[in-house]
Amino acid sequence: MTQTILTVDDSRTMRDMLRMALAEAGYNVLQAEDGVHGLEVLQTATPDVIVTDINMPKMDGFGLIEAVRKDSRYRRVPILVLTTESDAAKKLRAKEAGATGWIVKPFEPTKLIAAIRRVAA
Amino acid sequence: MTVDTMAAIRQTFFQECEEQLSEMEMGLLAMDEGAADSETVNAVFRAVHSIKGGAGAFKLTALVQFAHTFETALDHVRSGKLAPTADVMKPMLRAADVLADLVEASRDGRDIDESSYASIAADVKALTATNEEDEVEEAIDFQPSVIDFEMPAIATEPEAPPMHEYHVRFAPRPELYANANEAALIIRELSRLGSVEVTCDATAVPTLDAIEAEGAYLAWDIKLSSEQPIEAVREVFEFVDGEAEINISTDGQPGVSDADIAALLAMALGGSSGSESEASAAEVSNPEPEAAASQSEPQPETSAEPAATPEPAHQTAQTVESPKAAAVPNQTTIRVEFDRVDRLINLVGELVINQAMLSQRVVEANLAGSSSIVIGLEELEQLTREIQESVMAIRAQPVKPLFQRMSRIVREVADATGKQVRLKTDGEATEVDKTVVERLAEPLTHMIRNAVDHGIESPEARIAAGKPPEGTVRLSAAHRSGRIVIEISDDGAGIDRPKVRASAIKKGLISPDVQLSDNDIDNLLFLPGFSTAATISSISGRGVGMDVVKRSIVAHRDFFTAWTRFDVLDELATNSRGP
Repeated sequence: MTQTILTVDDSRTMRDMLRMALAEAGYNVLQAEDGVHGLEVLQTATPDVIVTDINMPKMDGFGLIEAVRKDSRYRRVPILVLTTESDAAKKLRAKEAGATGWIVKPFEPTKLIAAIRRVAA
Repeated sequence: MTVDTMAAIRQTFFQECEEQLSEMEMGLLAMDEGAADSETVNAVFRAVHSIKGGAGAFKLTALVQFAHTFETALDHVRSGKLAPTADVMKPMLRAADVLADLVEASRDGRDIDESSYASIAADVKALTATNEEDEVEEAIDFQPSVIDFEMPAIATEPEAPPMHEYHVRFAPRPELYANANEAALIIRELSRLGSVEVTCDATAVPTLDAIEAEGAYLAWDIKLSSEQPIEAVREVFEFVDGEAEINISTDGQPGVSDADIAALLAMALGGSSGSESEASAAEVSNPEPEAAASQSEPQPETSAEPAATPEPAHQTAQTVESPKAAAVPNQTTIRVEFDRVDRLINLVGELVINQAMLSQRVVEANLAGSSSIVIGLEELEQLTREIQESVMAIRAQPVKPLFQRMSRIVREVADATGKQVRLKTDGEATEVDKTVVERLAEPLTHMIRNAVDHGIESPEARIAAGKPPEGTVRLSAAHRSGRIVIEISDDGAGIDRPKVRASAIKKGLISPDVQLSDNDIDNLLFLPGFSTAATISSISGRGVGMDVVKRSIVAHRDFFTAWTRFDVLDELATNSRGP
């Protein structure tokens, strides 16, 4: 069955890159522009994996992860955070918030897909 | 991804950069005025961060590096380590200009000589230099979880790579499952590296009544035969590092790498099993201390409580609905090529003419007596007018980006002349036809330069005159009775009319005995070749200033009258010369 990925990023460039890479790999892609929007999308869909940026307006990635983990419907959905370089501090914080793993920006499509495969059933 | 899609995304990136640069500039100016809340600082940081992220994807190295320097300084402001004082904001604003230049150069495929902005980069770097100790501490704090997971390029190995035998002990803790990782998926991933033999260790499973639903009781011993180096094996466990006991060891098979032997030696020296020995093994096997140690390092003692974070900015970002965000409603927009809008506008122009001709024909054909035709025509006329207005509204744009460019001009001229000047803008949301906005840039630049160069006095002269040392140039836009009025004023010394008159006589622009009203003298400023500056500077004094202003405005006035009834000239004549 086609897996659905929800990407949450305020940068249109990044959204486009994620959409292209994921669609090319055969995933169904849902997109949101910030954490609040991401939670709204979750009201109507249950993605197999969430890929989220950290720095976003309204609700950042940490906030989104915490909100998702608190919701019994979605707490088992794997969440990958997008971080620039190997920002260890951000990874650690994301982990504490409940992130499943991370993807380093700028990402190679193959790395992105590999990371998703590693967490998606 | 194909070349085409990358090119399309590249275009999106630069469009987005423009928006982010604009947001950044607006935020920085607010910070400079001390009017910035934490969300504003966050927004500026995000804008620069986003530019850096996108630039990285397109390998725009110079842009990435500078954005990184800038972002680091902004992060210090965001986290409260650096106060946005005037001394801090000045280099920040200059850095914003450099960033804009770098974005533009990257977009056009040009290179910018790094030396041209090296001093600004150094100034920005210096802002965070005092905090270096903190940085080092932080770096040490977080080192354990940094993982270098660059896969070695297998393709470059000439012959069949040697096989490794790995023994992996994998015992997940409840956190692993709580973060939605799955032991089975990790074992599946491991199986992609080679052949695996998995043994489940269920000895830790308690009796049924003692089982916790969300506990983690199973462990696995995995034998992996793989051509992949140990780094590839570690990478599989990258996400669950700290959420499980992970112990990777290798057997000395023929053809193991030096690193593996070193790891093995370390294993032997370090004692039996357990996470400690593995950590030391990893350190020996990898020359980069950063990349080592990642395995089975216990998670630092941090509860899931976000309040423990050193970055309070994130919390505010989540909970505080900032006034700025509230003021700018999130409107849905689409991007349309300018050509399409232009074509539509031309077509509507044709429609208007056609409709007028039709009315004329009806009169000529003596059909005006037929009331149903007249009513129909009136309705058509009304509709045509509404269509025309709506279409023109598509091309209307706020003057904000234009005003932001002017703020840069003020900074540059102020720096070059040693003056202290602040640009205050008003009515930035005023919408003007896009083509007008573009054509306003040149005259406005001249006016602003003049205001700073000629209008505003040096700080010393201002203090002597009982004024604050910092001068103010005001730039405002407003709709006034169907016109768009752009006003520029300054709190400088005003026009020195005797000097203007004397200068004009000296240059032979007027004869010495002519009688001139104040208004006439003021208009001399707009004569070609007029200049009062004693010496020619790079900023002004060549006498190509105000006449350009006048020409651009007069040239465009007729052109734009039909659409916007644009009229700036009268306003310039009465408002450009300060109180």
